Amino acid sequence: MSEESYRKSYESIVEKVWGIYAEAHPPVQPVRNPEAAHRVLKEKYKLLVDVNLIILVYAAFLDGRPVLFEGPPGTGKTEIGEALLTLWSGREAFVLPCSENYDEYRVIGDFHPLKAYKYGFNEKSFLPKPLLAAMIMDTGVLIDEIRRSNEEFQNLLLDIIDKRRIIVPELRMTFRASGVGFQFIFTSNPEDLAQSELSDAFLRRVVRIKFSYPDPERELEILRLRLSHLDVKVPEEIMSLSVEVVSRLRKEDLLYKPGVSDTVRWMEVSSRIASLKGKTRVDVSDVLEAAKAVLVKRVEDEESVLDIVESMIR
Amino acid sequence: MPVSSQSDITRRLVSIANRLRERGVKVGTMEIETALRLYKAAILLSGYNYYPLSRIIDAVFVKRDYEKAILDDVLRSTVGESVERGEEAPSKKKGKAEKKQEKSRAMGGSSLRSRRCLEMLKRYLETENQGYLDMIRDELRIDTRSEVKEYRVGGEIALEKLIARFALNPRDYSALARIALMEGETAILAMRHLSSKRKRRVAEQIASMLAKLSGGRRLRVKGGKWEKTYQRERIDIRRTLILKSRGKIGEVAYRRRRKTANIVLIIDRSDSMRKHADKIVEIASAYLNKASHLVLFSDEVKVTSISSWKSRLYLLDQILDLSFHGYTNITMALRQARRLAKPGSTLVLISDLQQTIKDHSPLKLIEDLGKGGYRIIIYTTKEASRVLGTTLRGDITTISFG
Repeated sequence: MSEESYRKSYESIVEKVWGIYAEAHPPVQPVRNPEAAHRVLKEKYKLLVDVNLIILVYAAFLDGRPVLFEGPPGTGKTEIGEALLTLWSGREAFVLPCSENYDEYRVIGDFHPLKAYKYGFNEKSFLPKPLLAAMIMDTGVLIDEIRRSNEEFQNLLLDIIDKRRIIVPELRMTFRASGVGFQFIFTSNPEDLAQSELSDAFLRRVVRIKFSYPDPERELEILRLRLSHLDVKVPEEIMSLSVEVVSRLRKEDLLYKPGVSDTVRWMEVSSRIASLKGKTRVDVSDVLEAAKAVLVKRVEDEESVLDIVESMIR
Repeated sequence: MPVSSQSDITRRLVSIANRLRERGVKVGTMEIETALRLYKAAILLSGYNYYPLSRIIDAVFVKRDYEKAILDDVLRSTVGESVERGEEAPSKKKGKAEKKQEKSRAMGGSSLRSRRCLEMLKRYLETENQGYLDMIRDELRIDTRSEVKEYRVGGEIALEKLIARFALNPRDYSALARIALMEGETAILAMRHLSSKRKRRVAEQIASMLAKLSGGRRLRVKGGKWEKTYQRERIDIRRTLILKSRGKIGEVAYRRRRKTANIVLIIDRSDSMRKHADKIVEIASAYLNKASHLVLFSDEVKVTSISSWKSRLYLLDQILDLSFHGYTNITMALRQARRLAKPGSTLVLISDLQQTIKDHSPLKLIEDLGKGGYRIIIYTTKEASRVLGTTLRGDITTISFG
């Protein structure tokens, strides 16, 4: 391939990427100062994030190292990860929810079968996928539930992260990251059943940040922040009670333990129910009704969850 | 690093890593390096010159949940509170200095900002990722249309101005060269960057400017700045660049000093030494490969200097064909040896020390040579060595034979 034709092919792929993904990933004001990021996360994203965590994530980004958020469900890993990537790169982050059959054709690029038949395996039939798009657009990538992917996919990612380049053999092309925006955050829940283990090689390369359930005071603060927009307000005592209930449920031997996001959703649903009933404030009956819909995730847990909720709320 | 030095932090990280390894947790050198780099970046990002080291250790060394318990145990039992020793978390009670620091932070914290920019510059030079230059421009609030001449900041103006110049125009190699001279840690990275850009001449200019600055002395980086040592050595640009290409960051190679074998073998071949012929050959052949000069003397002195391997064979022939005759003038032979070797050299004298020609005292001259920086080894008879042991001072070794 001559230099001129290589350049043309490269440019056509770059153009294709921007054409497909630019609208879904609009630019935002980048915030690379941890304290400013803490403020923006609170005000714009309604997320309460420890400044030290932001510093650690940004330090890892500065060094080009991927970050792994590990912790139980509902602790804000995905939301915080996405927001941090967005603020760092100055563009809405790509989110890839992992599945077992992920491979390079699903994340880097594939060929349109009919176009490939007509034009051959070249830039005309090539369909860029999120990972390549993120590299070209210099945007962050959140890979959700990395433990659900297979080891081959993890190794593929490690190679891309280490070398900061993607090779597409069919096109005989190499794409390189041009800025510091192309960063990775992985999320994982080691307690989740039916998931594979992460290899030592993978764990050695990431900066692992452990997430856990917040203490009641902080959880209450999160509730106040996240529920401030509701029309039908949730009284302070009900919020405190809900936090107590959820803390108790986490200590029980349940298959599914509620996270912070479940507490928030519980209160949101309670508020909606109260609103539908024409009330101006949420009361105990709305909370009990919402608990059945939000807190019970597994049939095996239903009886014990409802017993605890009713005994504590009534 | 402001409070704890980099070597201190490294030492603590290595110590904790070793303890973890003893308990079966796999911590590689790569993890230690990552932890150190993250720590440096974190304290710069924090704006307080502080970040809890334990948090970095937790994020980098702990890979699985059960390892966390081991780490906690290691920190408690072996290192105790010392992980955070030397680093003071910003206290709520503000002293005068802290208020001043806070004021400086409010004004933009130029020193911290300079260091942040410098860190990003280093990363740019390492990775050649343009994004780091964008970050510098963001940090200094300049855009590509700015004129650096108009750019004014408080505090470390000169350095920030140079970094700004380079961030605006990465081909401004003179700015990079000047940054390299101001901040030792960036010099090697800059030289590598320049040589990769086929600007080897500029890289060599940096090296020669460094050499000039050093006044011919070896330089080492301490606290980010260059520091001269007492050793006089010249920088080897070629080898420094090769080291860089092999990823040995921060290492400057110096020209190797050619070690000359400065041993002068002085053999007495007067008539009185005939009975010790076997011993002479035995001792002399032990020094043959190291000696640079051979001085054979009786009442006259014959000097043979070694210039190549061939002349060593010639030297051996000389020793094997020794003929013993004539009177003894040790003083003259020693004077001749002094002319051949500089202070610091070793003079090996094989003689019975019985001077039979009138001259200055050989013992006095030996003592002077010993005081003058020469190392003297004397192989002599038992009787003579007994006398020497009580009279001579200085770096003189006496070994008896016969």
